[in-house]
Amino acid sequence: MKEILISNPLFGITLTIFSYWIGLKINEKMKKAVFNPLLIAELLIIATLLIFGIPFSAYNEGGAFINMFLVPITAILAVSIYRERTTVRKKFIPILAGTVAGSITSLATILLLSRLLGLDDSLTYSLLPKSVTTPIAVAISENLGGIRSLTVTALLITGVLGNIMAPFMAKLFRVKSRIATGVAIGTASHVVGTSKAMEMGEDIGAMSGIALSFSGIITAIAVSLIF
Amino acid sequence: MKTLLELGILFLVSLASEAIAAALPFEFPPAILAMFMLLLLLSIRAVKEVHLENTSAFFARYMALFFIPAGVEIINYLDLLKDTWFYIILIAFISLLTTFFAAAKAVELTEKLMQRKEDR
Repeated sequence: MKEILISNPLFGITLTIFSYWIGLKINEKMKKAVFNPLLIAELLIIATLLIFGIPFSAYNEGGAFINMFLVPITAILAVSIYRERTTVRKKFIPILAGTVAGSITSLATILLLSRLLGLDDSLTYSLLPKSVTTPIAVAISENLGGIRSLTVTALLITGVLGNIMAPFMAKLFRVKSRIATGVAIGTASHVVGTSKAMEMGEDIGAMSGIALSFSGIITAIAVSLIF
Repeated sequence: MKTLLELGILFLVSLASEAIAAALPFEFPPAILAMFMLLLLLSIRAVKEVHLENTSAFFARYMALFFIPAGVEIINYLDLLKDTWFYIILIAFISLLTTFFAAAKAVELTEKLMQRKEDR
């Protein structure tokens, strides 16, 4: 019975959809970044596989099907960038300056700390793109030979930390400009941070959204130039 | 019908990006190449924004779903995670602070410089 169920690719797909649905529901109720739907879904699936002794390969029959959408999902980001073109045109130079400085700093900090802590290459490569939006980060990590699931985990941790700490960091570093606040949130903590930026103000949220696409692209280019 | 065409365009661009990335003399993620191509197609109006309306709304709403299997793969690396989880959190925390600081200050500095130029 169990064999019949788990050998079907629909098993992985169904489990993913329901776990994510539960994640969204819990997130809606709790309204806290720690209850990230993706994080909840992942934990639910991992728990299910471990408890019922289902091998990952069985889950991944369906998982691989979902993975196939990673490229189109990234490509579709182009539509949101295109939609913001008027704002981008108006504030192009400050946004570019902020996202370039932030992205380079992120890469340099991660590389330096990884070396200091003696982490191996595959771990370092998995962490390198962790400040940028998931589709781009996964693409960069895979290209470098990193472990993409580790990238997703590190990126979720960063996003949740950024979401919680954004208002505090703005105060700590005495950031007065609203554009600077938005750009910094989007560059440092991608879409999970951006949801906090939205709460802080629509203009900050929009900037954060633009900055996360910019920093994703800049990080991809910087990494392909350096490595 | 429209959604079908949207998906077709999106998959075609994605497929083409894999071929182009393979032909490039340097390493570049096909996914990001696909994004550039689509942005270019939108800018020259070869593809109109309305052509991607439904698809982009759906994917934007449920985007995280598509990363779940990639994340669940961590189950194969639990041993690695056991030894390194503290480093990962430490690196995430410190790089968050430095990145936020650098980005915010770069924007403020640029704004100040541009303001000064305008005042002159």
